This record gives sequence, C-alpha cells and structure tokens, in this order.
Amino acid sequence: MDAFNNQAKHNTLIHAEPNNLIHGGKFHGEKSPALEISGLSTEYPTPRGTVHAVRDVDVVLGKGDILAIVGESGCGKSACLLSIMRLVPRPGRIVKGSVKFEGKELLALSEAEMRDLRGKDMAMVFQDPMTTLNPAYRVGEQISESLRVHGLLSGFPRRLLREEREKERERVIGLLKQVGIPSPEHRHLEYPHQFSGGMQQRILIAIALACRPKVILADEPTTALDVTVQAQVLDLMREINEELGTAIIFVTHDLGVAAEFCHKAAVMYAGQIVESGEIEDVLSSPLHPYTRGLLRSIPQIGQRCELVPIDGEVPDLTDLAPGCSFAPRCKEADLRCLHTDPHLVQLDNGRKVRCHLYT
Amino acid sequence: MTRTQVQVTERIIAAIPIMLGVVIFAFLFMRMIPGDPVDIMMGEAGGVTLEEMDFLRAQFDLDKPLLVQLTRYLGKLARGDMGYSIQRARPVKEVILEAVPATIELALFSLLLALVVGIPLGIASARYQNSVIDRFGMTASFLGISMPAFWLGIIGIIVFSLRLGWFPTSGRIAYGMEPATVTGLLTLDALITGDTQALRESLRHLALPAITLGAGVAAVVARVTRSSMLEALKTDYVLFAKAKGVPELIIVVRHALRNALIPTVTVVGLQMGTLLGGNMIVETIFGWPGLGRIVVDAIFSRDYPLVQAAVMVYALTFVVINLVTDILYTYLNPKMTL
Repeated sequence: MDAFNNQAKHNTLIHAEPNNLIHGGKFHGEKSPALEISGLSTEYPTPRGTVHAVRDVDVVLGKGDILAIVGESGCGKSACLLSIMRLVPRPGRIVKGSVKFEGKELLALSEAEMRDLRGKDMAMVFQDPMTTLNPAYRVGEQISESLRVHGLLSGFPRRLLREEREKERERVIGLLKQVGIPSPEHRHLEYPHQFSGGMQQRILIAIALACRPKVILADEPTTALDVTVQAQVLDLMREINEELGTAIIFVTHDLGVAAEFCHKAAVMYAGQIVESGEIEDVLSSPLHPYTRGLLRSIPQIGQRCELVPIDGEVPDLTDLAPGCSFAPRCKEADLRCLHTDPHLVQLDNGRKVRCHLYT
Repeated sequence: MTRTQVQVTERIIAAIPIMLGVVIFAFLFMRMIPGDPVDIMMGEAGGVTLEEMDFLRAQFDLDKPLLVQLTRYLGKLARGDMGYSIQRARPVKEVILEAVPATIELALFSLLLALVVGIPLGIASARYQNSVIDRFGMTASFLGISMPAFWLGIIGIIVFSLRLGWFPTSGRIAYGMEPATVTGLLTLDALITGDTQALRESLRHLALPAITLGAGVAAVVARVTRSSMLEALKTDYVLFAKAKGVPELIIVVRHALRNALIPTVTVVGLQMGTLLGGNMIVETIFGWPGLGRIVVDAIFSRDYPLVQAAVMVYALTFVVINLVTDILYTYLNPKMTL
C-alpha cells in the first residue's frame, strides 16, 4: 500500500481523480511493495549542532521496480540508503520513521536479525569499487564470504572438505560469469587491484547478487566509472532487474542515467523528498521548482541553449530555518514558503510534490 | 623458482655488500677509540714493561698497519674464522654462539608479550574509542613508552624479587638445572626434552627481563595498532562487509585488522632490531648472559675481534628482520611486491 496515503488525506489535491489516489502509476498497485519507508529521519550530532541528514523521507519501492533517488551531493541520498540498511555510522542515528521490508518493520529488529537480512534480502552496491573491495583478499573469497555468512555455503571447518571447496568454487565462478567477467575460472583467484574499475564494480554487483536479494540499494554505482563502462554496468543491472525481478533503489546525481535506467524517480533536496513519480513524468513535466532548476542546469544534445544554474547554495543541514528549505533559492517563493514547511502533496498519476504551489 | 623465491634470493645476495661494509666500518671505528686492548689489560694488571706490551701487541697483530690488519681479518673471516677474543682468551665464535641463544630467547619472549598485550589492546581501544577501555589502554601505553627500561627493571627486581620473592633477580636458570642443549633456547630445549622443572625455572627467570624489555614495545604496538585500526574501521570495505551481513567480530579481525597490521608490522620490525641488538641495559640489569652484556664488556676492554663479530651479528639481524618484514608486507597487502 502507498505509504503516502495518510499524509495525502490531509492535503488538498488538485487534478486528482479519486481512483488515481492509490492506483496512480503503472507499477503502483500492480505489485505489493518490497520496501516501504515512511517518515524516516536520521540525524548526526556534531559539535556544531545536529545535522538533519534525512528528514521525513517517504518512499515506496514496488517489487521489481527501479527507483532513482536524484539530488545534489550532500542532500542526504547516501545517508538515506544507509538508514534503510541501518548502517548509519555513529554518532549518527535514526530518530524516527519506519522501514518495512515485505511488511516487516526493520527498525524494530534486533541487530542480529538485521545482520541476517543484510546481504541476503537487501544488498548494497557502493560508489567506489576500488575502496569497497577489501584489498587483502582474493575476489573469489569476498564473494563466497557473503554466501558463507548467510549459510548458503558451509563455514569452517566443513569448508576445508574437497567437495565443499569445489562447490564454493563453482558458485563463485557462476556469479562472476553472471556479471560478465571473462575467464572467471582464473580471475576469481585474483586480487581487487588486478581488475579495472568497471570489472571491480561488476564484482561488487556479483557480491550483491550472491544471495539473490529482493532489493538492491545502489549508491551511485556508476559515478566512478567512465561512460562506456557505465553503460555496461547499467545494462547488467537492468538485466538483473528484468530476469530476477530484483527491485533496485538507484541513487544518482545524473539525471541522464536515471532517465535511461529507472522506472520512477524521487528528487531529494536538503534531506527531504521534494518530488516523486514516474520517471517520464518527473522529467517531462517537473513540478517542483527545484526539479525544474535541475533540468535547466543540464545540457541537452542538439539544442544550443544557455544553461541556467540554480542560484544560491544547498542549505546547511545543521540549523534549518522554518519554511521550505528551497525557498531561499526559489524564484517563485512567497511569504508562506518562508514560514511554513510544505507537506508532500499527492497528485494524480501517483505523483507527489512538496511545494506550496500545489496546495 | 617462483617469483618470490627469486626476489628473496636477490635480497640475500644484495645483503653481502652491506655486511662487508658493516664489518669494515666496525673495524675502523673500534680502532678510533683511544687505547688498545693491551693498554687496557695491562693498565689494570700494572707492573708490565713496555717490551712485554709490544710482545702482546705483536701476538694480536696490533703492531701492523691498519690495512694489513684489516686484510688479514677479512681473509680469516672469509674462511669462517672470527678470531680470538683478546679479553676472554677463547675463540670469538664460541663466545658468540653461547650468547646469541640467550639474547634470542629474551627477545622472542619480549616480542610475544608485546604482541599478545599490544595488539588486542590496540584493537579494543580502537573499536571502543573514547571508552573506559580506550582511556585505560592509552594511559597504560603512555606509561609503557615513558618508563625507561633501567628504572622499570630495577623496580621490578625490588618489588617482585626482593620483597615478594616471586622471581629470581638474575640469570637464565638456576645453576645445575639446565636442560640438555638442543637449540640453546632453554625453554625450547626443556620442552623438547620434556624437562618440566627446567621449563618452569627458565620461565621464572625470563619473566622480569621479558616484561621489562617488552613493556615499551607493547606500548608502541598498542598505539600503532589503535591508530591504524581506527583508520581501517572507517573504510568503505568495512562498511561494505557490514552491508554483506558479516558479523562484527569477523569484520574487526578479518577485514579491518588484516589491513591495519601493515603499520604494526613495520613498527615491530624496527623494534625487533632493538630487542635483539639494543637490550644491553636489560641484560646488564638482570645479569642475562646474552650478546648485549658481552658487547658492553668487550667495548670497555677494546676486545676488537669480539666487538666486530657482535656488530656483524647485529647487522645480520637487521638484514634478516627487514627481509622478513618485507615478506610479511606482501602477504598482508597483495599489491606490494618485494
């Protein structure tokens, strides 16, 4: 079910047909959500004050969906993913909200239960594969470790047996083959530094895939790669999504990548989701002034038009002024925007926007 | 031969000129100290005529030009003859071979103590940064670094040997209790021959000197391990391991520690040289019949052949330790080659 419903009831709706409320998008309603996040807020206490990195984030990820979380650096995208996995580094902490994985509340699980779930039901792919793989271990070992901690391969001492070792080898080679690493039967014995960046990212994806997770959280997985390799990695992730039905949250600051690869988009600004909906809708008719600004600031092929940067800077998340976080940079802001925080408004087509223009 | 074997062989060959240089320097530097062995021996004995002293000098080749002495010495060395100790009137080789196992045994036990205490303390301090454990560990290691060995050793003797009577004040083992010699390391020999009484006795003798010598090293190891563990625990691969669902203990030991140990190995390598070559003070305080004490005696009595041989042993120790450290690096970080 749509996590926004409660909030939507309190908001004035425009262009909204009643039956579009719940079954808005083409993926909504067809599939029950894999991941349902509501009101998620994460804070980092610092000597300068509390940083509100994630504020009241509501996201629904349907089974088999690919959702892009788009936004500038420092807008809380990574913190949001880490919060979902409950891996926010100390002293940061999740202060409120709910994260439901297939209906199960993750924030209420014990650390041990959560550990069981990490890597097995939900896996993460990080931005920089060169620092994410442990330099001291062969890539094969790093893949099989995932399987071993989740009981899909025998641990010590059984793993010393010949047939167990053979089984482990086959699983690892199979996964490497699946992500398109050439001659996996030799390369699984190599160390991370012996691979190129694109190949390393494939290995990260192989590790993420190892336990057949239902959700993959990808934190800018293509940012560190050059464009041709980026396309290969995206193709691979798309294949995984189509063949295995794995739902993916894809964090990126690259709208082009998001447009090409994702079904839905959520635009994040200053720790909040400011707009969400089907990717085509969000990109073709952006509602929030911030999204419009973002789109105007990227070049279009074939059109010689001037790029318009968004004036001003991302607000400091330590001391947040009341009112809309984007108001100081917004050309359409009025008095109301400076004083009251807008709510996320449910519109038709499953679109949502956090802006007073639509209330 | 594998690549590593080739590289190790290369390193060993490269060590030969180093060793030669060390021998020549030791030879020349010893002779720059005023007074030769005969002066010192006879100065103590008194009532010796100049003719008698010249006769003695001729005995030890001390009347020849330096270059002749050096060539003769190197020639003998090449045949494995380290010469004759002037002061002890015994072949140098014998004296050294007797002393080296004692020094090695003390160094190994100190190192073991330093690692067993230092590494877990460093890990715990990093994992529970700013906790009580961290504060205790870092205060203790601060004390360990600041306390000079001669002071710690003397306090140890006063408290644990004289007042409490737990440990003997000096020596390696009580007279007449030595186990049959196999390796020269008393504890190891006692284990091999199954002589439990000798084992207990030698451990009792080892305790105080090993703690005195190991305390400083343990402190350094704890500090270095802590700081590199703090780094390692913040890395992406540790976060990724958490995201894989790996249990905390395995993350700390397998993922973080393995990478954090590189600086620790560097420091231990350097400290090991000090443990083997720089423990003159501890050996002297505890009357430990090792190389350190012999060298101090030999320098004071200008026992040229003995000092030269000892310096050679020290240099060899450093060369070997460096090689072992480098091999360990390549194990810990596959990116490195020898």
